[in-house]
Amino acid sequence: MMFQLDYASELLPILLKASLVTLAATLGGMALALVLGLALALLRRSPHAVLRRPASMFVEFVRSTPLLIQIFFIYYVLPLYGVRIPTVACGIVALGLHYATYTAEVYRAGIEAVPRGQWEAGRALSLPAYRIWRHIVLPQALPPVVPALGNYLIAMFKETPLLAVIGVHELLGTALQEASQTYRYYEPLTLVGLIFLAFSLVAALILRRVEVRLADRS
Amino acid sequence: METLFTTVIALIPRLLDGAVTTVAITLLTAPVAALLALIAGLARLSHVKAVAAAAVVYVELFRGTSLLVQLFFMFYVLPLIGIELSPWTTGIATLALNFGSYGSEIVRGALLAVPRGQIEAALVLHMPPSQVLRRVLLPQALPAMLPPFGNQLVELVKATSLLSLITISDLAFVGNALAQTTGRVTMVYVLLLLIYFAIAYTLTLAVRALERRYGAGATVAGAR
Amino acid sequence: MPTAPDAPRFTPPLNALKLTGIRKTFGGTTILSGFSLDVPEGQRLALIGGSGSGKTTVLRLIAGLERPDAGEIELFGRQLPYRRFAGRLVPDDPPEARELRRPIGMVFQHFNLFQHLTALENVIEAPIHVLGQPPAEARRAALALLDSVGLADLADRYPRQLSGGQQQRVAIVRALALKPRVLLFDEVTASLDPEKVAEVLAVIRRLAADDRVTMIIVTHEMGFAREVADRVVFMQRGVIVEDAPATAFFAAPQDPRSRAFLNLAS
Repeated sequence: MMFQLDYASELLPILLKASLVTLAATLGGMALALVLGLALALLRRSPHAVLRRPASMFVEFVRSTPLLIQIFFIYYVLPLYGVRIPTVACGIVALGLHYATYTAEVYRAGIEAVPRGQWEAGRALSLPAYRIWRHIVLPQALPPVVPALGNYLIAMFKETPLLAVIGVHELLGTALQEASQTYRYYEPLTLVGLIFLAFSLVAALILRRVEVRLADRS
Repeated sequence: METLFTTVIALIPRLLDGAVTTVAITLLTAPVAALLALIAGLARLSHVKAVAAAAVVYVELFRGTSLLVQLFFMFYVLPLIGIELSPWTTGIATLALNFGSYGSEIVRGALLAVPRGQIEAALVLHMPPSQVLRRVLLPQALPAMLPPFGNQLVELVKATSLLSLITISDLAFVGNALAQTTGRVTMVYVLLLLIYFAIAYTLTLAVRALERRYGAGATVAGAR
Repeated sequence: MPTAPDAPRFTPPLNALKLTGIRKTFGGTTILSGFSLDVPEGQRLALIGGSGSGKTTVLRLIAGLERPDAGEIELFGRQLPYRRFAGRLVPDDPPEARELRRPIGMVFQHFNLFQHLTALENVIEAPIHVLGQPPAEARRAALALLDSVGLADLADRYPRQLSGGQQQRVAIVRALALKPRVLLFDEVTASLDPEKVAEVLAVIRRLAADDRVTMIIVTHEMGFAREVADRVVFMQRGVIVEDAPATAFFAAPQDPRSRAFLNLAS
C-alpha cells in the first residue's frame, strides 16, 4: 500500500485544526498540574499529619495507577454523582490531577534544595510562615525546577491522545475518525506521528533555550 | 449490603484474570525494553557515526511521539504494508521500543557518570575497549541505573493499560467490559484502580529492596 | 638507515623512550610545542616543574591517554601509533598498538582503583583478562606483591575501605602485576595526607633499586627526586629548561629559573 500524498494533504488542515484541541488540553492540564502540584507539595510539608498523610497517599496512589483508567473514572463515574462537565474538561482534569503528582515531586525537590539557613533567617526575623514561603523559599525554589516542569509539559502533551478514548477530538481522535470513514489508516496515523514529532522537537528546543537562560542567570 | 459484597465477589475473579495478563505483559516487556535501552544507550556512544546516528533517530522517534499513536500505528498500519503481527506481539514490541528509547538515556547517563579515571586506569592496564566497557564501566554504571529503571517499571505497568485499546484483554480491558456489562461502573473502576495500585506498589517496594541491596550508596562490602 | 656491514658503528644504549617534536594543544592553549626527550633503558628520570609546565601531559602522552597533535613517540625503538579519540567514551586502539604499549605501566595521582573490585581483584584483573594468566597463578603472584608492600591482610578490602596511602600502594602493585618495563608515576603522593606519603615513597624507592625498569617520575617531592632519580628534567611552559644528572642539578642548578624553582620548593 502506498502513502497517498493527495489524501494526506487533504487531511493535514483537519489535523492541524485538531492539534489546537491537543494544545488546549495540554495547556489546561498543565495549568491545573502546576497549581495542584504546588498545593500537594506544600501539604506534604505541613506540620500537621492530617494534611500531610492524605496528600502523600494521594500522590502515591495517583502516580501508581494508569492515566487511562483515571480518565475513564472521571468520565464515567463522576456524572453518576452529579458532576457533569464537558468531555474536554474531563480530559483536562484527568491530565491535571495525574501530572500534579509529578509536579508535586518536582516542587518538593526544589523546596528541599533551598538551604536551611534561609528558613532560619526568616524565623529569626519572626516572619509568619506564609511570608517565609511566599517571599523567601518559593522565589528560590521555583526557578531551578522550571526545566523539570517543562519536561512534564512535554510528557503530558504526548499523553493527550489518551483523551481520544472518551471522544475528545484531539489529534488522534480526529485521525481515527477520518480513518474510520475512508478505511485508510496509513496517512492519518503517520501524519499524527509526524505532527507530534514536530511539536516535541520544537518544545525540546525551546526548553533547552530556557535551561540555558536559567543557567546564565544563576 | 449483600449486593455490594456479592458483586465484588463476582467481579474479582475476572479482574484477577486481567491482572495476570497485565503482569505478564509487564514481565515480558521489561527485559526486552532493558535490552533495547542498553543497546541504544551504548550505540549512542559508539564511534561508528552511522550506529550513533541510527540510535539517535530511534530514540528521538519514540520519545518524540506518543505511545498511543505508536501503538495504533503499529496495529493499523503495519498490516497494510505487509507486516502481520499478533496484537500481543504488536503491543509488547511497541511498549518495549518506547520504553527502550527512554531507558537508553538512563544507560547513557549512567555510563557517562562513571569517573574518567576509571577508564584511564583500564587503558593503562591495556584493556581493549570492549573489556573496559564490560568489566569496568558497566559494573559501576548498573547501580546508578537501578532507581530510574525502577521508576520506569512502574510507568510500564501503567502503560500496559493502553494495550486494552488494541484488543488485548488485560486488566483495563476486562474492567471496561465489566463496567459496561454489569453497570457497576463506580465499583469496577475503583477496583481497577486498586488492583493497578497493588501491582505497581508491589513493584515499587521490590525495586526499593533491590536498590538497598545493590544500589548506589549500598556498601559493596555488604554484598559479600 | 643502511650502513655498510663492516663499518664501525657506535651503538648507544637502547632508548626505552624517545619523544620527538611533540606538539600538544588543549582548546587553543599550547601545552607542548616541539618537545623532545630521550630516556635510556633503566633510567630513573624525575620530571619536575610548576603546575602547567606540561610534565603530566608528557606522561599522559606516553601512556596513550592523550593524543599528540604532531610528533612521534618511540618505545624501545618502535613507533607508537596514535590512539583514536574523537568523541568516544572509551578511546580505541588497534590490537597491535595495545601490544606495543604493553611494557608501559602508569600510577595516577588519584589512584583510580576500580571501585567495584577488592584490592586483590584490582591487581589480578589485567593479568587474568589481558594477559590470560590462569586465575590461581595470578592470585598467587598478586598476593605476593601485596605482601611485599605490606597489604596482604587487606587484600579483600574495597578501595573505599582503604586509606589513601594503602590505595596508592595497591595501585602500584596493580601496575607491577603486568611486569612493566617502563613505569610512569604521575604525582603519586600529591593527594595523600602528609603522614601517608612516606609509605608510598618507600615502595617506589625499593622499585627504583631494580635498574631494569625505566621510571619517569613526575613529582613535587624534591627530596625524593634527589634521592631516587639519576636524571632530572626541569620543565617550564612546555619546554625543557634544564636537563642534568640529578646530583649536579640539585647541587648546582645552571639555569636561573631552575634555581628559582628549587628555592621555592625547598
